[in-house]
Amino acid sequence: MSALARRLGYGGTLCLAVIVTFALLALFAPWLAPYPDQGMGTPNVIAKLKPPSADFWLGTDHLGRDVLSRVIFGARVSMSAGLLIVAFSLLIGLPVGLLAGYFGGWADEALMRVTDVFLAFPALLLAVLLAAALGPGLLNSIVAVAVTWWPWYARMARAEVLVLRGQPYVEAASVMGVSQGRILIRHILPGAARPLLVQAALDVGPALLTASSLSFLGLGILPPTADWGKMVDEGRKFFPDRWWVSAAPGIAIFLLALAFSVLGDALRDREGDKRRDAA
Amino acid sequence: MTAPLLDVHNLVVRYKPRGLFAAAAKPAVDRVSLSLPAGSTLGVVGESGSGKSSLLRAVLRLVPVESGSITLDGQDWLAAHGPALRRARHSIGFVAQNPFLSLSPRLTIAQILAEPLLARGDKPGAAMQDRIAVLLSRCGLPPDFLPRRARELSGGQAQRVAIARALALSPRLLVLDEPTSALDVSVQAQILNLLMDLKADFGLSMLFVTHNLKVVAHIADQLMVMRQGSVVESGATERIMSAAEQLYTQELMGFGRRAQKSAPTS
Repeated sequence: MSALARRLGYGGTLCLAVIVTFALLALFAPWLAPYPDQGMGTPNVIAKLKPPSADFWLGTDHLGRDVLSRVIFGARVSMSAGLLIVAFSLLIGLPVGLLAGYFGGWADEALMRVTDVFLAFPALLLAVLLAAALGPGLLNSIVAVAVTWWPWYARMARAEVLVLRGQPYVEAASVMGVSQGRILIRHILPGAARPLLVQAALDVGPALLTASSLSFLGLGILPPTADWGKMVDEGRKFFPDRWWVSAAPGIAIFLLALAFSVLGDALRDREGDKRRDAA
Repeated sequence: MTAPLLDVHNLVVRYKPRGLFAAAAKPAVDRVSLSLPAGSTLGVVGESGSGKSSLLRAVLRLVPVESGSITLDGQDWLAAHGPALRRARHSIGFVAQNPFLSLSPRLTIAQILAEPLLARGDKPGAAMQDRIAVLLSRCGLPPDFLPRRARELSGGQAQRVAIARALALSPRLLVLDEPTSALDVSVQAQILNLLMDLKADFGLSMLFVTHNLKVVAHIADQLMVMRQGSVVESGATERIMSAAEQLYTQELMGFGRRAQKSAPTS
């Protein structure tokens, strides 16, 4: 643990701690939230729009639900949205990039032109259109964002493969009669995967921001499930008089997105060090 | 004499010119013929740009051949494609110049040596591990190197691993691309001695490509001197070393001597 902390540096470790905290909150929300039933959506209208107090640490929203409990339950949606968007994007982008880079020629042309088409649209606009077409819901909004996200991974994977493909050890494998599929998976993928994973860690923050934007626009998960983007939107009507309704989930989004970005930065620096050492 | 193991006839290798109006490139290998009898060693010598590497890469089927023929063990080597080519490649072992580049940096020595066996379709297991350990010890390294990675090895040790990998499938032909150039002089001699031992044990034929006439004279039965894609001179090693007909060959020999003398002691 201390070795990891040394590698990540002060900021990286702090961010890792923030992420782990949010992950634990999300995982154990029913036990950690002060009012679990309100966190899951049960209204409590006798106490609506109460300012922060000893009973409701972060106040209550327009249906009288405890904002702290809602934020804790909202971590489940935001965490999984951020991670799943990146995972889906890698799942599409990595194979596309690997195949395009390795086989080259018309396969490369075909795959990369398709990728370019996706890149041609403004990402958020495309995501909004897709989410609107698919209908609201967590999975739909994740798919909508992932569709705008994967081309970056495809390009990156392709660039890595183009470098690795010419390496003598890849050539040696092909001279030995190793099959192309195995060369790709055993000899090229491990080298290409590492920078991509760093980029993926860096992207979780922006991904969950985009997912939150969608639910802010009403295209994400349906109420009464708690979602940070949705909560900011709900609180907008009472801002700035009842600022806590929007501020609490807003700060949560900010913290988690920042933590992922700084952690990704720390990982990238480490990767950079490794590359310099190897050279 | 029996049919040669490797027979190259009028081989032409030409790289595609860049750009629409570029003139056709000069061939990198221009009508080269050679014949390598089973159990013998042919040294291909030339300075950089002489086409020796292109010749070697053509023999390994890494670059396309424009015209000419390559016959390996009586078979038309250029006719093999796809899975057939993949199988046929098992009969050629290849050792590259820099072992640190030609050994996968993320695999252990055991994994590296297993790759050719797995490519042939052998089943992983204890028998394969034994075979790998034997292979490694034949190349002068104890089995405790198996769990290590290439970057933890010295240049000579890594090159021994590369040689072990090339011999894993008991090929009849070993193709070597400057196998000693990345090593310092004392290690060079060790590797050359190892190659000569292995050649006797395995009944190998070797195609040995180098710029260093001294090294190759030590190990080759036949020499072929190349310059600008063509063969300048070829023949038995003793004859060429003692009485080179071509001025260029003499120059090349002088080159080696001068370089040896003025080499910095590091």
